[in-house]
Amino acid sequence: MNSKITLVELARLMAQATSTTSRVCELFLRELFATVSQALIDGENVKIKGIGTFKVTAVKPRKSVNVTTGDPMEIKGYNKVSFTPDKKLAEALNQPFAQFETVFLNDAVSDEKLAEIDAHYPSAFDENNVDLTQSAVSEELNQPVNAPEPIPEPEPVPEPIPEPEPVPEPEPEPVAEPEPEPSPEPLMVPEPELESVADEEPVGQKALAAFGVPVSREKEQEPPVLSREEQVQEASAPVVEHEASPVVESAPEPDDTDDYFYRPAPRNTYTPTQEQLTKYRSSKNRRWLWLLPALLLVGVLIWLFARGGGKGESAQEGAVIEMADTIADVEEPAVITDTVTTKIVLSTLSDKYYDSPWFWVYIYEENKAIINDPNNVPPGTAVVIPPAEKYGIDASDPASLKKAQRRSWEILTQGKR
Amino acid sequence: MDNKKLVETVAANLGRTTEDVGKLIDALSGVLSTRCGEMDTVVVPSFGAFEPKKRNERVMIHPSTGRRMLVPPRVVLTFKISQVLKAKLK
Repeated sequence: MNSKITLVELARLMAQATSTTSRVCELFLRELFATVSQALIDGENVKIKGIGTFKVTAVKPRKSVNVTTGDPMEIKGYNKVSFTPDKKLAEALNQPFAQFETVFLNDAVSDEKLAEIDAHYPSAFDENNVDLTQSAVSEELNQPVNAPEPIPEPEPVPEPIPEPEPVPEPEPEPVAEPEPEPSPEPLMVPEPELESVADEEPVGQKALAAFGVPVSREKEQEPPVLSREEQVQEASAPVVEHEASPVVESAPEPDDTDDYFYRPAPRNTYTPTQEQLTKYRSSKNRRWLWLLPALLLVGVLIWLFARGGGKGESAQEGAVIEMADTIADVEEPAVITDTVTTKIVLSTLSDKYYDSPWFWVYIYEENKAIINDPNNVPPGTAVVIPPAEKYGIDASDPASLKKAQRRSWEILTQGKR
Repeated sequence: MDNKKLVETVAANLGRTTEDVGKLIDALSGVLSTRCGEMDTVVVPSFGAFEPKKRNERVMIHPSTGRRMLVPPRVVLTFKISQVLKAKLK
């Protein structure tokens, strides 16, 4: 990362790739560059296959003035070397940005609007030479189309929050409405995610700081993760309560329970829990419906039904305990793991489990603790395959795909300048 | 000097076959591509430095249609000539 590679190290790396000694490689490198230098000095253009073309161009002498004395002077002509990288090499280097295309701006996008966006992402234009405004701008431009509704923080959302499209659309919609800023803002409000940013290694943090824009983007992206964590925490809390006091009536405040149980299930495994609860609720209603006519009928029947109710209650207890068990099971879902080999990389796994190689990012995020560089996962690493629902993975959904693509772009460029 | 002639010259000077030299050039290209892909600079003494640089995205006007375009950011490989070679070239 931004380090300098010397000739010796270059020779060592080449030796690894060619199974020769680094001495041979070093001699070769010296000879190669000496030959190229000599050819350039002789005024020849040199083309090296797989690397590029070196061209010598003569710069004519030109007249100028001495800035201090104001005397006219002449700048001598000299030979200039220009380098054009080989097409393949250039493409390989530009790989992180290969998915982007030049976008025509709509006439409705005024210069003021662009300036506004610039002002909103000031650090994107600093001298850091780092700029991710591409997506930032197109994000803004696209927002009126699918402005994500602000999601209240307390309500954990199992599905990742719909986000503005990261990849520039070929035809951005005219931006006529006022800045739809409020949407990202509420997402940025929760401060806790700063911790998660801070938790990352200093390098990543520095990179984020250097990026400027990605930090805010990161903020937008963090909340889903956070809410998931919260959800897990919340989910575990009621479980403990249930186990401590099996009777439902003494469970935490009804709101909380409702909130918990009627939240859309993030994983399939939650569904039985919901069913059980619905069953339990309906049985409760039925009991009361039965008790009313029973009161009107005979005392014995009342007594009988009361006993039936008691039975029902014990059955409820059983159901609750069972429910708690199910939830406890959900806490440790069946973990799918797979192993990275020389042939199988993250994207291969993603293709295998999610039908699209783009979702490797989520496997990487799930295994961030053990994977340093997603491009270079040591063979033999066992990785956890997250359930598709956790990250809203859906190969048939273009929005989900785009989100993954954008995330991968972010991950791949994070450590770079 | 084209690639063929360069390979032949280098092979003759090193006393190696052109196949060997071709393989070494391929390896050099591969190393450049991976290391520069990680934004590392490859420095060759008294020749120059291969430095990948990130170009910012920018708004430019299409020369013929006059429409404004948003040009995406990209990573390019630049070559900065060493002062030694630069002096020799003058």
